Amino acid sequence: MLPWMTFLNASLLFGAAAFSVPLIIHLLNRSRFKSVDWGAMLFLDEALQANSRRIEWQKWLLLLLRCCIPIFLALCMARPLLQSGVLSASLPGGQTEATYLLFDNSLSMATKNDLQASPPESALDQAKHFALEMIESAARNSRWGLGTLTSSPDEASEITPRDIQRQREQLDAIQPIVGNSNLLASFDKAFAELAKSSESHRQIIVLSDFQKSMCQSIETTHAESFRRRLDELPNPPSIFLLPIGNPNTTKSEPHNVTIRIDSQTRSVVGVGQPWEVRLIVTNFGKSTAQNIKLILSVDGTPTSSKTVEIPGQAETQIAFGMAFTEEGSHRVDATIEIVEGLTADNQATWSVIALQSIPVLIVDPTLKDRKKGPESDFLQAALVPFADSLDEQGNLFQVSRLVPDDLTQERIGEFKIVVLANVPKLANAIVSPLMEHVHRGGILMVFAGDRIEPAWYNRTLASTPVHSDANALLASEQPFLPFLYDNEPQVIQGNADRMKLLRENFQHPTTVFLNDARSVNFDNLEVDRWYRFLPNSNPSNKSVEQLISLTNGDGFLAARSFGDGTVLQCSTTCSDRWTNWPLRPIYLPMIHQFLLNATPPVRWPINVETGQQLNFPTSQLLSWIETPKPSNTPIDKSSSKSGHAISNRESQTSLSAQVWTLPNSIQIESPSIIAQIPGIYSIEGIADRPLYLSAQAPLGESNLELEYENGLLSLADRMGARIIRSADEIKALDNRGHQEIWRWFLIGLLGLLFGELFLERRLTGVVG
Amino acid sequence: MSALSILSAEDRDRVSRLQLYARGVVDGLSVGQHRSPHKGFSAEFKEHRPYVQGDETRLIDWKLYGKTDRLFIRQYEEETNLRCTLLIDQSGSMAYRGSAPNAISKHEYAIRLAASLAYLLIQQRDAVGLGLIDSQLKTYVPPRANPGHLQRLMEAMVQSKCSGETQLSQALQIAAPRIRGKGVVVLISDCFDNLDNLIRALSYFRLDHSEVVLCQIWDRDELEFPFRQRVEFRNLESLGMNKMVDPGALRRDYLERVAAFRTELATRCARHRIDLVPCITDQSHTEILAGYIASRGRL
Repeated sequence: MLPWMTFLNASLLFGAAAFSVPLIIHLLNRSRFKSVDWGAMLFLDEALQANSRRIEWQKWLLLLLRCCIPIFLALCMARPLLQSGVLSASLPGGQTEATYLLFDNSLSMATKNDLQASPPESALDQAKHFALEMIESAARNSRWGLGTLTSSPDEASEITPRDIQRQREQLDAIQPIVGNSNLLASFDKAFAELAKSSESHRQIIVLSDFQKSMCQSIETTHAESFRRRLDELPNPPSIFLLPIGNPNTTKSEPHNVTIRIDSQTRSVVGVGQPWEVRLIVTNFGKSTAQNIKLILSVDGTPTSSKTVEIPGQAETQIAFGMAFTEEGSHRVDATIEIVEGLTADNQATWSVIALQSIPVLIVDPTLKDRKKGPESDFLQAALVPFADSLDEQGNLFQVSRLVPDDLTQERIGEFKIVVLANVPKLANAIVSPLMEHVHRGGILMVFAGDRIEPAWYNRTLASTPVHSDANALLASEQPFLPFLYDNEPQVIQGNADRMKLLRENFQHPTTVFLNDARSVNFDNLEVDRWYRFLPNSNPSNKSVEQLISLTNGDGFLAARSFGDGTVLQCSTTCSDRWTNWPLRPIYLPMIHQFLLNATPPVRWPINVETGQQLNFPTSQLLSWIETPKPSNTPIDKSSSKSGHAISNRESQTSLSAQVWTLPNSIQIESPSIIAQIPGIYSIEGIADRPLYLSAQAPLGESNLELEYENGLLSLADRMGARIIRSADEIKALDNRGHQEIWRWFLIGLLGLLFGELFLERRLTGVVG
Repeated sequence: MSALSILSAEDRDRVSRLQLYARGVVDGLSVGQHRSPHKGFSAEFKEHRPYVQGDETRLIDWKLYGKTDRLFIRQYEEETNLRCTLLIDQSGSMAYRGSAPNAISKHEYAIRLAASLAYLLIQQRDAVGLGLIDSQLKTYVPPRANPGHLQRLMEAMVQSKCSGETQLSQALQIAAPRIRGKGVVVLISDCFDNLDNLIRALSYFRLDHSEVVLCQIWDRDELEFPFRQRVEFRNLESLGMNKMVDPGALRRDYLERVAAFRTELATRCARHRIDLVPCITDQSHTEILAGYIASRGRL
């Protein structure tokens, strides 16, 4: 491919191979001739002698013309483009234009730069004015596409002919949202749309405030890759960066104060327990922000407020303490009152679920073991950390312990969670009640140990049929335990390295908190002994999941949905006999997360950042406040409807989800929901009050700091883009892009056709 | 080709009508201008024949009628003042047969023309001779006027074959001593020879006070060169001298050369008082003959 010429329909260039057709015809005709006995040879000889040279070169010229005709035709149809500067001054016309406008509609673009204007105009409004100005002054045959830096690829706007009314409506539809603005992905989207257009000149204009964070997000390697892709495009578009606002303001001091709720704030709390919410107020300005009033509201009612002063470019944490008197889901709103350009980040939300304390029954055969002490001491300490303190109200769990022989059906019914800690086996009569308890929504957690009888577990709980006494409903859910236990435990011999937990990207809601490396450290957790998990008779059961693995691949924790409840299976002890796990700080949060996340509705993430997925497992949102009741009601999927059960009232937006309505409950069937707009989303129709979900905006959007010299210029340089200041500046650029020259090839083609006709007639003696 | 097939029945009829026409022309034109065509009637008795209705009564032998009481016509050995020698070119180029359907070769056309002429002259009781030439005089039949001579002429024509190169001037120089005396020499040829030599050779006959008539035979293809696709032209006169030609490219020049040749020939013939009769093989030779006689006034 010529460096100075490219083609819009390069694939049609293959048509040029048709030049061989005249050659083939010529060669075939050479071998095909007619023989004639001729008498008047003297005239023929004379004519031949006089014309042989002329005939020969005319013949070759004709052949050349005929070969050139398909080549020129293919060139015409391939629509060649001449790069700017190459003859472009001497070739008039031939330039059509397609422009794709990429709007940065991130939260920072909602910043109102001129607060004195009436009404105050945001940066996004300014960008829209620029865009409208460009479209209005553009050529009638130009085509325009409008996209955003935050929308997903399937939301890409098509490039359509210039229609001011239509494009004005498209502009009006662009609103600031908080999402992961991805400049490179947006360019891919624009490339794909521009590739469909047939215009000779293509351009992409990014209208953004070019925050420092955005400029820095494009690393050098990414930029190089981007430029390579750009160069490989058949007709690479010109890229323009249009910083919104007065260029001089890009060097000026940004002024913005934002508030967030600490992500470590507890989402689940017991009713009446003290709950502390930590507000993080950040001042991105250089000057001190004075008299910042913080207001905390719970369920829409202001409960407390504080006035603070925050130095420039500093962050302050302010804690508010409170307790929830009602169980259920609560929304917490924190707002700051300040006059500034970006107001969208002056509020933060959080969702809290207040639960009555959860009764836990620990079955421990070593309760009376005076020599070694009870197996479940560590577990009890983790579940009831405040047992010895004065503040017993702080405990979310109420723990009772008994030996296996004391376990009865009635006792099981009193507890939501049952833990078997190194239990050798249970009486057969108690197995079915235990399974029914889990099936109704209860939780069973099984820890291994030196006393367990794997054969009994495998035979009674982990095989099919589970139990002869199990009713038909239970039989349909079997087996009960996620995995079989190996017959003998694995033991680390001598000084061999202890086994650790495998660090991976945890996806399951129960273990997803382990991905937070800042607050979770399980590197020093070691395991000496464990039972290997073996697949049971139905290994393809999708409800079984190995949640955490050891570094050798053996299972550490597995879970299985059983009816409405969950069975958790651990391959080692809950004490320090086989592992140092209980001695590590991670023990308490892990035990809490394992048990809490297995309890609906806490198993779902209810506080996320915008743009993150809200993963709702396909399970029921039953009446989660009350003790689970037997639910034999079959799900009537015919009552399903596609609705907007999850809604954000403030922004009047909603997330679509498939909703099934059951008596006193709903079921949400939606594997992934992405909340783009920060705020509170509520799921209506559960019990008496909605379940709140909170989405917080990432902090980066609030940093309005712009670095023109180091940021935007560097970004433009890395991406091979040009910085422009106004729409007029684009218009003033001459000879930019490519010039379409197919018309010249068409003229050449016509010339060739006429030349061929003339020569052919001359050679055949028709004329002249 | 049999001798009889040279002239079809229709041709013979047309030639007979031509004879009547020619006779009428001769009779009409000869009054007071030429010697009577009957003057040559000899008193040399040949034979009697029975009288048939329509015969002139003055030719009745009344003496014999007195003896036999039957009417007989007296016939005499005829004499003529016209000696015509037909020279037919049988060089290779005369073998060309056009691309049109039912086309005949130039040689065949020449034979038919010569036969018609011979028939006409014999019918007029003129003496007709024949020479077949290419580069030499291949066959020569001296002029005779008796009706049986026509058959001999036609047999000689039928036996002629086209071959060899055209060297008319050389052949005519060889034939000239054989054709002595005043008369008419008719050369039927395509004349594909050097014009200077040809005209010079024909001039010998003019010097001998003979009239010279040149019937130039063309095929339509030679005049129009209608070929389109690539053609290999095989030389009819020289084997192996073939030419592969793109006809379209040469057509214009070829036609110009043919036209120039015809013009030059006509000019030179006029200059040497040679009657030039252009014939094209798709034209009726009898009509051409009639047209020529009409234009000439007599033969």
